[in-house]
Amino acid sequence: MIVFKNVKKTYPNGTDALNGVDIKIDDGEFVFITGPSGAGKSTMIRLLTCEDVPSEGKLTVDGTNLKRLSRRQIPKYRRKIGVVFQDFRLIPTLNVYDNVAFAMRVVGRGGREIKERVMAVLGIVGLEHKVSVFPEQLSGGEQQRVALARAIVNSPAIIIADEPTGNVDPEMSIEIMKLLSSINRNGITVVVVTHEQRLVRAFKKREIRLRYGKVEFDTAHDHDHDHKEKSSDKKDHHSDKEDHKKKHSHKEDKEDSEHD
Amino acid sequence: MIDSFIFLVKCAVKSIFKNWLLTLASVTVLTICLVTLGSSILLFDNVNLFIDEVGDESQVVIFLDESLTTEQINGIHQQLFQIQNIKNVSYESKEMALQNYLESMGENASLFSDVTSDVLRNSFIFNIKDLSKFDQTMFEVGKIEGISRIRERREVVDRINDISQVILMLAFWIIAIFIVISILVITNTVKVSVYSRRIEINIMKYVGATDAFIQMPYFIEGIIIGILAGILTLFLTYFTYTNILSPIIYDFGLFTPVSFQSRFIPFALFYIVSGALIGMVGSVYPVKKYLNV
Ligand SMILES: Nc1ncnc2c1ncn2[C@@H]1O[C@H](COP(=O)(O)OP(=O)(O)OP(=O)(O)O)[C@@H](O)[C@H]1O
Ligand SMILES: [Mg+2]
Repeated sequence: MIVFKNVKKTYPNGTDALNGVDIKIDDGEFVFITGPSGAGKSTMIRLLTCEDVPSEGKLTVDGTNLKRLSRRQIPKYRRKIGVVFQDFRLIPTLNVYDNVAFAMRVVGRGGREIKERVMAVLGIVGLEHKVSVFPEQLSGGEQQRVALARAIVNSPAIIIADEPTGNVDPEMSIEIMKLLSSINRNGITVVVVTHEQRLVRAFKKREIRLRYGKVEFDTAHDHDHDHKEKSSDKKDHHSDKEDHKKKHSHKEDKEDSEHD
Repeated sequence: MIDSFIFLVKCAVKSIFKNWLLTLASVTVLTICLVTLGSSILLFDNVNLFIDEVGDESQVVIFLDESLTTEQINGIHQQLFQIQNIKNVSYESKEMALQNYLESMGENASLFSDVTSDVLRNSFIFNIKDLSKFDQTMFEVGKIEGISRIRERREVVDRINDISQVILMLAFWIIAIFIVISILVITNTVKVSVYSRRIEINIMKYVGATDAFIQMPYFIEGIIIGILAGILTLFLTYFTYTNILSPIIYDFGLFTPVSFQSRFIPFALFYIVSGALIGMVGSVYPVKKYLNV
């Protein structure tokens, strides 16, 4: 379980990227993180991958306070999560097979186990026929599927993807999301940052929208009356208009993503 | 475990070939460093040998009291043997001394035909092993009873010690500077291979590779550079010394130079181990920078 408790993040230059975020993500959930550019989505991901620590508040994953992890404990924690990036981050000098196997080798796994597991995950992402192809010979969608295979090869409990479809054409984006959602059906928690409202609507999963470093809304709480009563009048007001607003901000997001 | 090790060595070898020009530069600079180091050692050994074999600066003669009995003289002999820094102890009775003296006079010996050995004294002659401990050793010798006079060449010994000191300091600084340069060049080489593999390092961090694991290929790279330089130095110094320098020294007829063959293995170990150490040190810093993801 991932728990953000009043998490704040101020960068050394004074930017308040996160401004008191409260989120609870259960094991096996599939969550979209959305919001305009600069809302703090990537910052949230960076905290989850332990690249950075909250300036204030508490972030726990399966009961572990990430702020308390020592340098030596971080690698062990990271083996529990699989990360996917917008820019794939495949190693250009290695073929598909080795790119995936690399993730197992560097955590000290051995020979036969690697072969079986790599072929299995390449099968899951539908690239078993491309094992000896190099990344530059693959389409964006295929590269992202390799990256996805690499993210799941060490059997993580959580998959974190920051704009995984950002560099992928629309049809392929749906394929990537389908893959993520089938990975999720196997009990893996999936957290996906995306700009594409189209995908969010198509997949009907929980959506957490950030704005100015705060949770603007969380679809999980739409059915959570306790939370609604606690929240301010303003929030109540805007959740009445939520549907309308969603459509509206969709346009904003499109523009934002073009800026990127 | 073995799989990981093979993987790490492969990574290291790959980047050595990929940045072969820089590897070559590192090996060259480190070789120069090690050659300097090795030459200094050989130089010192030969200088010491020269002092031992040719010069009599280290020779000390102690003249004994006339009244001593044979037993007492034997006792002094025993005491001299007990002193660590002394070698080649020999006894010269006054008769022998006269004999030697007359021999050294050659044709003029007849002029001294009426001189008897009574004007001379019984003596012990020995050499000091380590001249830098000359004073301490002579202090111990001085404590022996029954000595009437000591002949030593303290000023010469002092001068030799001074010169040794200067050479030692000079060698120390030259070697220190070369070691620093070698480390910098290796650091730079490793930096380039770290830079060219920063994506890999980044991914390694994300999938949970330990810092030690990430560091390892570069560590191995540094060690390989060090070992290559060590081997190169061994052969370079061996061949130039045994085939060129040694014969020259020998031809001058000064003395028989220190043999390299007899200490080939210690030299080999010394070069390879110091090369590997310098390589290791040089490879640590550049990776550290990229580990902070
Ligand atoms: N390393 C950093 N140093 C200083 N400020 C930063 C840093 N990274 C991000 N920021 C700032 O923090 C805020 C949140 O950035 P973040 O990258 O989390 O946004 P985002 O929601 O991922 O945006 P996008 O959709 O454009 O990727 C922004 O104002 C950004 O300029
Ligand atoms: Mg971002």
